[in-house]
Amino acid sequence: MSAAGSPARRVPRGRALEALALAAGAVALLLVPPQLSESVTFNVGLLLVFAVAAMGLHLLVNWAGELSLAHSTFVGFPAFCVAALSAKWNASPILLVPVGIAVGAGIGGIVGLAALRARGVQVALVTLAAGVAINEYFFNREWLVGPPGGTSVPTPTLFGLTFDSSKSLYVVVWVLFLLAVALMWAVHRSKVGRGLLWVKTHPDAAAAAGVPIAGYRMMAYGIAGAMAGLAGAMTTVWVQQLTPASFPQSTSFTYLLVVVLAGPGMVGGVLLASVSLFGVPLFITSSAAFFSYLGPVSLILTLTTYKAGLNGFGRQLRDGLRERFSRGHGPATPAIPSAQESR
Amino acid sequence: MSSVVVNGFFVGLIYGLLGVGVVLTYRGSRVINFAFGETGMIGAFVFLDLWTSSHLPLALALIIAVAVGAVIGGATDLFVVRPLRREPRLTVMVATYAVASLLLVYGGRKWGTNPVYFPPLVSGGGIHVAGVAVQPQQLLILGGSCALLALLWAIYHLTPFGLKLRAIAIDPYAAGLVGVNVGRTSLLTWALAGAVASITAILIAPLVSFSVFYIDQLLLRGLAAALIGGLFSIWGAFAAGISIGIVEALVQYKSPIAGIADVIVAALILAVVLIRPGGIVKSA
Repeated sequence: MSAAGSPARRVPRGRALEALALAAGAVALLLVPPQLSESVTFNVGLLLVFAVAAMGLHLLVNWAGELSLAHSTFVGFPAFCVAALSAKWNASPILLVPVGIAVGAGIGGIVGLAALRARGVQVALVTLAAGVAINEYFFNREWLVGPPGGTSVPTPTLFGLTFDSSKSLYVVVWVLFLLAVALMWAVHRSKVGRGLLWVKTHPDAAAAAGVPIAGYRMMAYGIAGAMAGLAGAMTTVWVQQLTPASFPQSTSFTYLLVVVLAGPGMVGGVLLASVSLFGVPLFITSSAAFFSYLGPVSLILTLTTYKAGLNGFGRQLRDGLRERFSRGHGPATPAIPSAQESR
Repeated sequence: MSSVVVNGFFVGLIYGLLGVGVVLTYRGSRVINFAFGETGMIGAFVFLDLWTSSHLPLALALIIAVAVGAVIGGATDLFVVRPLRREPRLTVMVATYAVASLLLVYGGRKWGTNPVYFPPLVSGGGIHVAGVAVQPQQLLILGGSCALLALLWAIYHLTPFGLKLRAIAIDPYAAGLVGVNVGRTSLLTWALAGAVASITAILIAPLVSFSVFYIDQLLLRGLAAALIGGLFSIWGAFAAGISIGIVEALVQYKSPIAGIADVIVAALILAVVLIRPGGIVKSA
């Protein structure tokens, strides 16, 4: 009995197992990669950085209904800013992560401002043009990108600790990754998350209810930019030697493919899609035809046959497991999907 | 200065042709086809193989390459666009990018990723316009573009198929209600766009560094031409492409700063979206 005298709420067994599985997954993600080779650890770190950037676009596309084909620029510009400042001040790039987030939010807001007036495919073209223009103009400036070989940033340090290998630095990237997941979870559950969903699904109703549509759209671009800025700063911390070739415009399309493959929902689908579209080519460097065609063919098949995306598949799987674990433990609690999940 | 304008004009023809290709599928399906460039790339490489390696007559190689483009375009509609007809346009757009990736993988594995020599389709001394030597291949692009636009105009305005295309461009749902077979018309539209993609790539290949990635540097200009032209107007896209080419050449001449051309294209797109969101030509 609770203090108020009412029966204590039991956490459904399925949900408890889910939380346990997530915690186990996070711990495994922390402990396993550093046990493997330096190059595998480095690639896992790259995958985490990519997933953080993709989460930002996921919020923009799948939660807010907006679009950006400039996401690679959202990542690259803050990365170069952090690298340039780190090299100039001889400061640890880890300390400059907030700068990357702020620059990312700023550039996201600027592109968002340009996209506000556009509608439909115009948004795609406006953001693509903005991304290409920033890439071609700023990524050719030596004061930002450094010499042709790229800017070398100082070895990352924090609280007197020096991270001079991928294995030692991995924990920093892991913490930043978890921070990004937590931020996404918090936004998803917040008034902002509900507002974004409302603006996406029923903009007229939202406007009638007093939701500032333009403000929310701008906020979506700003948050997406901030997440991309975090990913950019993480790139600088992790890679430590950046050139303009590190952020090709085509990566913006890869991010978009990832979030469309993920589908509406939380970040689980984004992580799976990142693994399949970015991680598989990263870890399997085989030149066999099968692996070359795997990405585009699986994407086309997923888009055309299973339209709810990986998040939809995950929800089906989860509901099935919950139902299974609820059997024999009293009446099953009907799963009430959150507003965003029920889309 | 006039030589800059002439050069910009011929570069603009390339952008205009790409813009026309984008408009064709947008009119029929409300989809920006990101596989347009890659479809043309496959057609152009097939043409190159048949013409230079298999020594087929130019006309026959051209016909086969155009047919390959049409088949790829039709297959894109049949297997990718049609199953997604009821999905958000963003999903379809992303799916066309997946098709582009697939074609890119195929092209890269078959023909490699390095630029190849693409011989000019015509030879000769060329002519001089405003003190600028205009190559025969540039003149061919001009003539080919005009012929292509005339052909498209004839298809759209003089044939029953064109009438259906225009009806679908205005309102696909209403067109279906009055008996237009929307599915078949969409298939033919995508096949037509695929054929145009092949012709475009074959025309411009000798003038650019041609590789499987040739569209990367041209994609934004082609899309900008389509957007500025109003997304529905073939002539508008073509005229916008030429305008972009000339403006770009003039700006680069006045201030030769790296990346300035892309800033100008972005500014043009932004200006159109802010001032005239429907594009410079409003037509369906």
